[in-house]
Amino acid sequence: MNFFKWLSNIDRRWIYLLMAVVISIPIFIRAPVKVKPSPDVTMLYDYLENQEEGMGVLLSFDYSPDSLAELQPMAKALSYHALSKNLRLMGIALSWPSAAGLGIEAIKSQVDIINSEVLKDLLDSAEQNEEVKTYAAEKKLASEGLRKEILYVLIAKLEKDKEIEERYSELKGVLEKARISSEIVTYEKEVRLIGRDWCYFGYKPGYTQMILGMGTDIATTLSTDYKGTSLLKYEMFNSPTEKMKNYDNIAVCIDLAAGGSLGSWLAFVNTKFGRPVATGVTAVMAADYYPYLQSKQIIGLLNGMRGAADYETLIGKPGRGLSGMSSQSAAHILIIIFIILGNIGYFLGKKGGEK
Amino acid sequence: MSVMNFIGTTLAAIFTLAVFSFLYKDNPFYKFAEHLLVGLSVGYYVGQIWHTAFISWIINPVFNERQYILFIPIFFGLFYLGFIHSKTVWLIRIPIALSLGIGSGYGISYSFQTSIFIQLRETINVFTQSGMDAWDVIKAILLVVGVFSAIVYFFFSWKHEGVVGWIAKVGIYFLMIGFGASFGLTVMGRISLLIGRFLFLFQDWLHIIK
Repeated sequence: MNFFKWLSNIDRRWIYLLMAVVISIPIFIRAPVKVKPSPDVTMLYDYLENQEEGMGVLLSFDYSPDSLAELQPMAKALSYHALSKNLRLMGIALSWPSAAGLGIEAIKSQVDIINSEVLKDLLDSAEQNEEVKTYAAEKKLASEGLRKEILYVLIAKLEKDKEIEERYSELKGVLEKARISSEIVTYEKEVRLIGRDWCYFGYKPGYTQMILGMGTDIATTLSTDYKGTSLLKYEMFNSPTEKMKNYDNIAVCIDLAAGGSLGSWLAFVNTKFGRPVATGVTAVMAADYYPYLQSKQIIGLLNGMRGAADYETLIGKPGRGLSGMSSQSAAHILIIIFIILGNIGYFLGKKGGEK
Repeated sequence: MSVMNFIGTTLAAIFTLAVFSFLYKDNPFYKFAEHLLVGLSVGYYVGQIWHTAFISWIINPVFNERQYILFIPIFFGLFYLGFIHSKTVWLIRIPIALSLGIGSGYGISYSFQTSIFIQLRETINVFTQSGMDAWDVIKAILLVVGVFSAIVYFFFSWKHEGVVGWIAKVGIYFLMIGFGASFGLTVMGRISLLIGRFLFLFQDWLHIIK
């Protein structure tokens, strides 16, 4: 009885501290956790798996940095899956100006991972080159940083990106002298290039107008990508045979949302244009969207960090979602213990006539 | 890690800790971080809107691409500035009326279809899906009973007594289960955000874990 009385009067800061410890320990000991992907997530994964190469996937980044922990791992996992399946990935930020940076970070990081995998042999041989080694020593670059710079220069050559080539002009000269940059042409079809395999539109104000406009013509409605380059300069939007004209060329629009944005995607893209919609939402909102899953208005639902962990499991690429699952379980156990103790204390107090 | 990355990550970590310090008690570090966030957010938003809306959709099309037709929406848009004088404040009603009219015209019909008609249709058709096993049938019964009893709970034309009262009571239980699920998910979401910050501190900043 005294224990429960003491517990009910405990300073809440001890609870915060205990929670911090409980969350930190699994991170440090890397407690293994196995996740069985839920059917809601598997549905979306299977749908993307069965798409023909060249179809589009549109990710809408409708969240701000405060939801990053839950939605950014989803964005990365979905981007990786779409790019690795040779689907043409597009990203847009419609609700929050602050999502503009999150979107490009999610997509570009996965483009870099896939391009590094494709160019592994070329990067390995470049790293062993004496002139490149001298460059790395002069710039005090570690292996990871050097490989990233070589990758940027090689991809910039294919994308004809003058800005990147100028920024790394010294390395560009070294790679040309070592005849490494000429080899990149042989990988041209395998690497993922901006404007051909992916495109990020950045933040576009005018939410509903943009969603409606993309149903008619994406390039005319959005006009430029995140760098200000006209979309009509890109193969994705000017190819006479394989261009991304409108939602008809997009296999699924996936709204990664921390607010009520899914309503507009459902109302216009699904109901008006009859195209598939899926979503990844913060756990706080997830309960509101299960009815749309039951009615098949959405073809998949990723629920918070758990949803991200499920998707990472399915694509076999552990990320921040899976890293957090053991801590999540530990925190939930602690909360359940607190709820049980709190209720026992409450009822014992009530029985003893305490208010 | 480049110098700029290191400075950025360290600043983010310091401000994360400054915000966490509120858990102990309110203090100047927390206040500073809070005010800085507000100021930075406003500055960032203004900059983004300036470039993505004003430059991209007004300056460039009108002055570089000579799309003079855009003067019509710009003209109506300028009415928003009517608030600067009490005699012209009524002008704001015109662009608001236009936005409301177009927005409602588009929104109402599709929102009704999306959130009411299709939902209702799928609730009615819940037993007609092919390949249902016993568990699917139980879920379908729960769905129909839950929707029906919850609607009865919100039906106030009859007194909640007798059969109606009993059904409404069932509706309350379904609603409470729904609120419980929502609350559980809220806890999960908040814990996820905390884990995200811890992973940032240990992995991205301190590099203690890989």
